[in-house]
Amino acid sequence: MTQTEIQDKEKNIKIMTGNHAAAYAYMQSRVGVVSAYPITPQSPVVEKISEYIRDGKLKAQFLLVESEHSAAAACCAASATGSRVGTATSAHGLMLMYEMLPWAAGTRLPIVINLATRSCGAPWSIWDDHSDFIAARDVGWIQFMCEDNQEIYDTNFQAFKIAEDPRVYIPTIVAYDGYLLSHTLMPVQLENQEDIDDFLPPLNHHINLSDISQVKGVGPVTTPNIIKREEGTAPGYFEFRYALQKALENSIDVIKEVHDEYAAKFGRSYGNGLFKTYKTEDADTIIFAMGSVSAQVRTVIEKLRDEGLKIGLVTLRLFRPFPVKYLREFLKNKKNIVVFDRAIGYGYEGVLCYELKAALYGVKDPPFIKGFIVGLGGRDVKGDHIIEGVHRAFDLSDKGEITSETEYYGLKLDELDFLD
Amino acid sequence: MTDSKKDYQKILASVQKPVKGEAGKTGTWSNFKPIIDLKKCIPAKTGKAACFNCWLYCPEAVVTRTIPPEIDLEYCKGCGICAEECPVDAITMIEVRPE
Repeated sequence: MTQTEIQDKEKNIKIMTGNHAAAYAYMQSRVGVVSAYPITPQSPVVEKISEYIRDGKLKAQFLLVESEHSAAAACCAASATGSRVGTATSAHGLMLMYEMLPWAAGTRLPIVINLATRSCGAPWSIWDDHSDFIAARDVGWIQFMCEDNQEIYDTNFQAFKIAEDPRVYIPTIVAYDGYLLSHTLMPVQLENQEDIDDFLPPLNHHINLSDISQVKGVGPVTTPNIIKREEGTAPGYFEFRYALQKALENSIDVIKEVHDEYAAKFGRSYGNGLFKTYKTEDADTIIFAMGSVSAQVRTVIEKLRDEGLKIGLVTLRLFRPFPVKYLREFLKNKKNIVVFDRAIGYGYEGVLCYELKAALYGVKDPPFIKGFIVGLGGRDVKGDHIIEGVHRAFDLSDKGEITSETEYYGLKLDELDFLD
Repeated sequence: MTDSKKDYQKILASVQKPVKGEAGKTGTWSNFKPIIDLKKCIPAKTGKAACFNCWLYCPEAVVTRTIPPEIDLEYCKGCGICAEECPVDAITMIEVRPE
């Protein structure tokens, strides 16, 4: 890059919230239809989008609906007409959309949802944790978790490109921590519209119901068996779902490819596109986390290294499909892994923790893995929690005590004066 | 079993065409059947291709756009939407009792 090019690029840096970055990315992605229902902390995304439409900056249809379920249903229908479709939601909004999520995945509609993560009630809480994000795990969507506003902006373009790839055709969630990112101002490097258009060409959908020359059924009734008839052989539910799983498994290659293409074009990369590493070169101990928790971990890695620990950080970016092969390869020779989860898999333990344990199943001399729950309902995740957690994990590891008992940092039971 | 990347995506291309009777003869599910009173029905009464709300709103596409409209009871599930939408109350839902 020449000096003038660098200066030109710098001019395009704007200070914006995570929500604003998401909305701006939608505008530059030229979404054709947006249908959404307001919910904290996501609402500013769709407020911004409706402003863009009002001001003529975005030529899109904004469908006002009475609930998130209708929003998701409208998005599915709009996507099936061949339009690029995006929406945004949080917590109970996603819960209400839930019924439509497997429909979108099964019909293979490349919709993108921006999810400003928030805890799920009861009790009522509008603050951040990853409960909603992990609840959307088993419906067949691709799921990204971002760590800063720039990553939100960048990931959105990649998400559309991945979702719309003919090798994929899978809806995608781009998540970021509610308030911590959604309402926090950060500098975001914006790209020129021409460059974005070049990276993200118009959608060529495998379903296009607006083409009435071909009558098609979408989301047909399937039976336990395949049906053979004159018009052709109709696959059963099993075959459709096999195709979804295969596409998800193979989408990892596409995700890496799209990430690398974006990185080459715009000069910003996020690890290998699947997870990001920090100070891992010589590390035998890894802290494993995603989203804002990782941002907190970065601040204390140096302190832990001063104690003589060879410690690094792996931030998961792609939660589904879980990048098992790449994580196994990267983590198999590590001694200890300390996982910080911002969500509980209720009745078991932290979700990242047990997913990672499963991913490393069968590895020779597997790493010792210990997980902790932090920051539920927006409670601050402090550097000290991370440091204490690492010390605790080392204690257990030295003693050889393997436990999946759920342990917490930041839980303030001792300040509840009515407890004995 | 094939495992190439292209092959399983072909399953998507098999997005199906609407076929009559995909889920069997769904008319047997019904507890009610619609009866059209041709003296009230707008296209039947006027002899003109008008109204056709029953045809438009039927979720099972079992009503014909003809004068008069006809309902295929082999596949009608008896939901009653046609009766609800008919502007002149020409459709009555009659209870069907199993023999």
